[in-house]
Amino acid sequence: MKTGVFLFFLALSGRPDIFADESVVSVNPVRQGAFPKGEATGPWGTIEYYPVILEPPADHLWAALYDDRTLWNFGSVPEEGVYDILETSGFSKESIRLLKTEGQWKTGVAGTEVDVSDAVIESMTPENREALAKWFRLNNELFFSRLIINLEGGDLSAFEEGSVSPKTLDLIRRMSFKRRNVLSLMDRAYIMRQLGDDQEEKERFLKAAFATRSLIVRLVINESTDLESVIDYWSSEGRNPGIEHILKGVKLTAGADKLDLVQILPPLPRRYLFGFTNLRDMIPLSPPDCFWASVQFFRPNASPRILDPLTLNYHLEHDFEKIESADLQFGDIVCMFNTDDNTFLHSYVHIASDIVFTKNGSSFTRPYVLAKKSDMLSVYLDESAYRSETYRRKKRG
Amino acid sequence: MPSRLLQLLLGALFFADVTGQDAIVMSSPSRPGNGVVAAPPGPWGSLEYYEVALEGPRGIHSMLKLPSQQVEWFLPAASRAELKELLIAAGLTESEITDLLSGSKLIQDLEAFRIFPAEATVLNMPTPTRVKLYRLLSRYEENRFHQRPVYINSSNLSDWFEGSEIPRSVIQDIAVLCYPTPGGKGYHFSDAPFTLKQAGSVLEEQILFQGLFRKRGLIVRLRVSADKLTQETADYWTAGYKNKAVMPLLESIVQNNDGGTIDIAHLLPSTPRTYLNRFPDPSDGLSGRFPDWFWTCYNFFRFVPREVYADSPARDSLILQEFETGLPPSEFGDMLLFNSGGKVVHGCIHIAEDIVFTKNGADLNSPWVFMKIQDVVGIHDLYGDVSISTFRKRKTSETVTP
Repeated sequence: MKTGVFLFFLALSGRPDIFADESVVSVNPVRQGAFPKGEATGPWGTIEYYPVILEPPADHLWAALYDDRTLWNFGSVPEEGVYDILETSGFSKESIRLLKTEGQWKTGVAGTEVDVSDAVIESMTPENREALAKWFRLNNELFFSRLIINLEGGDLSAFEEGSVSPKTLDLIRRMSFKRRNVLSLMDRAYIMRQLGDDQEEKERFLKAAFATRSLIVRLVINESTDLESVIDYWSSEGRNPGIEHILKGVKLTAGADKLDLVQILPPLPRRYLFGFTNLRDMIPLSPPDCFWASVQFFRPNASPRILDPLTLNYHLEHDFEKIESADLQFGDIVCMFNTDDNTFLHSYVHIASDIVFTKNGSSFTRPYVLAKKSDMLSVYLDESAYRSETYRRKKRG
Repeated sequence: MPSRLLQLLLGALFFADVTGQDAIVMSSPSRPGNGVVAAPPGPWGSLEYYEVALEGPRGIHSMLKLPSQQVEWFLPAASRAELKELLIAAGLTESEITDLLSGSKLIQDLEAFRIFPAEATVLNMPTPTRVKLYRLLSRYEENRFHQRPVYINSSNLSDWFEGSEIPRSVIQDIAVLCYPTPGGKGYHFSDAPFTLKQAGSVLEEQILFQGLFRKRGLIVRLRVSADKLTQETADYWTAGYKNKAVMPLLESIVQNNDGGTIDIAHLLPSTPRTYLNRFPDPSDGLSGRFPDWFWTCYNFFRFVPREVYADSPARDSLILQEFETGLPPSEFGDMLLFNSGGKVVHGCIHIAEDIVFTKNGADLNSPWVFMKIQDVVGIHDLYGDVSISTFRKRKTSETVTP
């Protein structure tokens, strides 16, 4: 999302200590049987894929993520108004009483903030969390984005099979809650408190919490492949030149019946695939996000211009044409907008079948991936409704 | 064609079977067929690779300066006597010189001779004579096709030109005109102008040049299985933390596709991964220069490439500051410098086994590719004297400040 939310963290904690000269990838094995290999045939030929889960490397987990203080921010709403919000949200009288007696209230430049005790957290139901999260999303989006962690895939598989201890998994299970199709956590700080001094477990928890589902995708090229059609699809009418001879070479080579998609992606997605944001790509208050990753898909080099505070149309109206057809092509950008207020929600690039190239948010913890569309949407399909618009880069020349 | 048969006989060790309709095959040396080849296992794991031909983007050849069909040899000599001395110094005999110049047309100015040999002279020249003459010609940049000959690493020319649309008759000429590299690995071909005679239209010229000047690269993959995956393998590709950690990725392959392969493009740092099997884009030259071998080597581990080139004044000091001499065995990411005639003529990056990452020219028609190092030597070793020195990237904290 183009919210710059991550910078909020950055401002609190200073920059994360990441390698200066290389995006870093950390890939964790998918839990056996969590999701299977796949295959899809269409105008792109036949692709096969298998999953990997990408976890952020330890040095991409900035200090504020380890903060164990639960702080809720209600913006300009005064303390008394907050109690009304909680009551409307279905909080029990006991929960509200605890917040009144144990909460540490503060009003300042940042608005109305309350330091929340364990007792309040433990008294909350999943429905309370869902309602409170919705209030934050609608009324204090920046804080919402800072508070909420959406779990990829809509399940807890990233934490299973020894990824964290059974005790931590149980804690996560109790703290997680649904926002329509999205499984979320809002009590990271509480979980940190429960983990005490166990730094390694805290790191394992954070890595799994920010795990992103990805795919290794290969194009099948064998004697039955209609190579000209395949070349046409992946060349995208000249937007992705220079791939036909690799494809022909594979077809001519005995024993080489599959080509990893990394070999025929345009330079930019190839450069960032499986990588995380590098400090050299960002400017103050603006790290690369989903739009940055998608609008430059066919560009040979990344442009810092995309980080400037310009409207989407600034980038789209000259170089792209809007596509009304549902028949998507390789490299088409799909932009998602909230139907209620028309705000931009997310954008991604169509690859083939239901596989997309995406960066889910501007966080340093979210990598650039090839992913199943359903996995990508698992962190976006919350209670808000959205609509999509498709854009196609105009041909070169 | 008797004269060609005679040439074949004279060629002794290096001749081509061009008489029938079978594959046009040079007798020696050879290379593995066009299948997937398994490399010997090592600390990098088990690699396998195959070769693909890469043609430059369409349109690039319309930008190239096509030569005249007339073969031209440029030699710096102020008089016929000087010209003869030059040729004798290059090892040519009186008889060979006479054969070469008879029937040739010469244009002489104050400093040089431009020799336009007869077609038969070019075609029928014995291979040993061709080797000596073309090695001499390669010393002068005016002879651009001799200074940067086409390198052919296969004795099977039909295989080599497969898919190129070059007519068989042209391949037959090429088989006659090829000559062995000084190191004996593969062949050089410098008579591209000669082959233009067989092009009947601009389109045929383009097809011919596109086929002649296409490049070769390797697609390399790492086979990983549960029983063979070791920490040593992961450490090899991590290169002392200069590269990303790869063990989790390899474990993931094992878990989801045990015994399967992963394209090693995934194991490269960002910058070489961006450029692998790619020809330069015009946007790569916006600073005024296109990347060359030093740009490629120096920026291998760098996320943001720095604009430094083989002739940059800072080149040697950067090597001293940021690299140290590497002792064998070579490691992933080592910079290999090719020394010839007292100067560095090329550099490339060691990947694994005898596979390197290289860009063999600064021009638009030179892609970034994986190659076998002996083939890279074959391209750049014009005089048989190339020696290789290894430089290892220091960790950032160990960079030497002058």
